[in-house]
Amino acid sequence: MTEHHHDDPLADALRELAAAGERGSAPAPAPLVTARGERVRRRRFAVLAASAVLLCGGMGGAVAAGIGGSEEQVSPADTRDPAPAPSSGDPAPDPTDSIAPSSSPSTTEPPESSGPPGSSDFPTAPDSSGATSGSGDPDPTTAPPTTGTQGATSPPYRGAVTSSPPPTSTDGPD
Amino acid sequence: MGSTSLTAEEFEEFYAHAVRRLTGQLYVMLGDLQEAQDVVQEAFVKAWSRRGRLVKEASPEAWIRTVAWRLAVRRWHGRRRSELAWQRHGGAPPEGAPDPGSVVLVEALKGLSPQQRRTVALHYICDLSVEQIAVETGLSTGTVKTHLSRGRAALADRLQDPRTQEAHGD
Repeated sequence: MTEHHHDDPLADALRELAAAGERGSAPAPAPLVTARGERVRRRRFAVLAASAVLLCGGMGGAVAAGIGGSEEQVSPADTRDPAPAPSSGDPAPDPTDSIAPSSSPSTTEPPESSGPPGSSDFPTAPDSSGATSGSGDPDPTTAPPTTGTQGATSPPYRGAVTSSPPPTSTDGPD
Repeated sequence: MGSTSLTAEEFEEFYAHAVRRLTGQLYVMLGDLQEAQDVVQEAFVKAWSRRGRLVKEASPEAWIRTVAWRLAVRRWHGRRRSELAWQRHGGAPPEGAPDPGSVVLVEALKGLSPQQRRTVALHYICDLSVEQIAVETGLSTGTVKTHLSRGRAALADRLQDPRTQEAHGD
């Protein structure tokens, strides 16, 4: 649906101007245009591929960080349980240090705890629970560590192994 | 034309068939032949990199014209910024001598707004109806009619009044 303007002087003048532009134009050869277009197309594909790689890499990194972060969140939560003793002062060696003070109330039995301090905590936990209950301490804080060590054996065990491998390995069979 | 994408031969044939006509149309819209050549060629480069899309268009020539117009508008914005920068630094870039044969009409066209020039060129050179212009430009038919009537009145006023011609010819 086109409109023609045959008797319109303005349309004639504009057409003459357009024709002058057509005559005066020197268009680039078609192969040059297609070659430039091909370069543009390849560049666009390269940008798309690079952005896709970055996106996938970023998502994978985020997933890996999320998995690693969740594990790290679990282990401190378990180590905090035996760590109620602030007397140690050092948060890093929590498992061993915190157990040593917990065993210190039961200093009534120094010979057993003196040998393997770190490792003896977990195996002797049931014993110490009995000792604490026997000592008459109604502290609820002492009871959860013993049950916690029994229930969640693997996370504290891993922590104990990492903190002091030789004693745990020797005490494990005991 | 192929069903999915243009081959190189088909594209080159289309280019040879349409490039001069499109350059003439853009020349009327822009008032600068070199600028018209540049944006039309750039639009064809984009068209080659999007051949699949070009095939789906009902009128590939209209697609290239629209792309060339948008490129020209973008260049205007950039040029305006550079002109302001030149003015701030005290000098202006030298302009090329205009074609004396069409200087009056070109100057008269430059007195219109860009959308009026585009509408007038689409109507009088591309022979598009008001509805077709509205589809291509994205304007409403009422706005297209307004641009056409005002553009035509302004051109008639400037082209028929010798004093206006002298003023613009200077």
